[in-house]
Amino acid sequence: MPPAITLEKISQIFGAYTAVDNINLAIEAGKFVSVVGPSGCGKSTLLNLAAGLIAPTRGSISIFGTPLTGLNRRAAYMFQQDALLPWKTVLENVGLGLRFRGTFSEAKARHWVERVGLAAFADKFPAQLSGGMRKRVAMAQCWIVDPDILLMDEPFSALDIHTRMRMEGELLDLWTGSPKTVLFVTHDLEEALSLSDEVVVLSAGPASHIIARHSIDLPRPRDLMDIRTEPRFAELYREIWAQLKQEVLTSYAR
Amino acid sequence: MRAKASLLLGQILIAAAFLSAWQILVTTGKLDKFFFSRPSDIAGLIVTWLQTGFIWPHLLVTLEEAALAFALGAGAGIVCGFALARSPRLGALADPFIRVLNALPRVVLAPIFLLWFGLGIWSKVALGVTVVFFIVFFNTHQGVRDVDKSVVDNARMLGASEWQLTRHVLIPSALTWVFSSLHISIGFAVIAVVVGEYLGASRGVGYLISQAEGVFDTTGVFAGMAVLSASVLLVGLGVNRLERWLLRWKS
Repeated sequence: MPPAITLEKISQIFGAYTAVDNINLAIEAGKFVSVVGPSGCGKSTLLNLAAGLIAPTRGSISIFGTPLTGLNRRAAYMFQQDALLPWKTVLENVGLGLRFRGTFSEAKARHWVERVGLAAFADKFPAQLSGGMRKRVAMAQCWIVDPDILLMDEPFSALDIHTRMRMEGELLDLWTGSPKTVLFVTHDLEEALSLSDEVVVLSAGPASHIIARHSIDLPRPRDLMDIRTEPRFAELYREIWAQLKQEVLTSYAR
Repeated sequence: MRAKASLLLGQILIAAAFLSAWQILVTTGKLDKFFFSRPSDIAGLIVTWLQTGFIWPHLLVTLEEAALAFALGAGAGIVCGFALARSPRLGALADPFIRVLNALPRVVLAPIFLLWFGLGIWSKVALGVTVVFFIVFFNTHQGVRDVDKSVVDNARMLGASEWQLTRHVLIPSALTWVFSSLHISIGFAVIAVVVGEYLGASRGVGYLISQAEGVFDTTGVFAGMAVLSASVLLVGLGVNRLERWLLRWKS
């Protein structure tokens, strides 16, 4: 099976600013891969490229071996910012992807609303929900269309630490046993470590590139509440943080 | 609830004090009745208008003109605002013309419209349209351009076609802005048609006021003003409810 996402010699230049430079990255299907790096290092650019929302200045992208032109139809994208439609209820928001595809089914939408624990809020509007609940809606919105690839851009960064841990757990529960490939961007190394099969470290921008790829051999299923206290976790953390720290410092210096 | 009641009481007291002062000042001769009329006379005239049914055709004409002006102006404003926001080239092309047209004081258009569209309702509707159009146009334009980029990207990633994006994302977003300017645009529609009637008409509340003014009938002028404000207030109450329902998703 070809990799789910292949980035080949990708450079992305916005005007006079080079966001990422010469990125080569192949993401195996079914894996949970995180990209970490200091702020402004072009992590989101990588996601937007993989989503087909922007076209690379140089290089090529393939999705399951097929060159990507236009939007990536096999991927769903969970944004860092709130991207729900404020004038639609939870149920309508969850079913949005189905509606766009002309396969809307209220039963299916309701099923997903229940699956993310919002049954009692199906007819509420996003503004009436807490931040965590809105993230659940966004998650259901992505999963309901059954994408092969999930692109996630710091989806939980705006949440408080406990809500965040819960959401991470729910994400892992959904993903475990599914054949979906996840490309997860975060600046939080702990989050990356506890969720992923692999962590990719990006250098500080501009012109960021891949510094290292680390395989995370922590056993699954993982208990996110306790994983941070395991010795192997600490070991991996130290190893990767040593690299990441350098980049964070460089990024501050610039 | 009690705070609200006492607020209302206070407002009634202020109004009562103002009207009584006016009434007393005129009755005692401190103010000239010829120039200031009297609240009791004004109220009496309004009651007469209502009893004889004299006011209804005039009020109806004014409201009809305002409604037409609003519907046509808002419709055109939404369409143009949308087109210009979605097509940056068209927007850049039209920009200076829109600015020039919007800078025109509408009142000076009234005589031209009288010549073009005659003394009937359409010259007033046209004047109202020129006011409503720009309010709605700018709001729609802003609304379409202000849609959060991630909301648009999200919809596109979820598979929205260009038309679905327009229908489910851009139009609702623009309408939000239009709804929140409903009060202003409806209010201005009424003002514009009244100005139109005032400058030349054979019916309407603006016409009544100008007729009364022509014979130095201050009571008639004030009565016309009162009727007009009362109806705009009533319409406003309706708009409030409509707006609350349409924007119920904003908590």
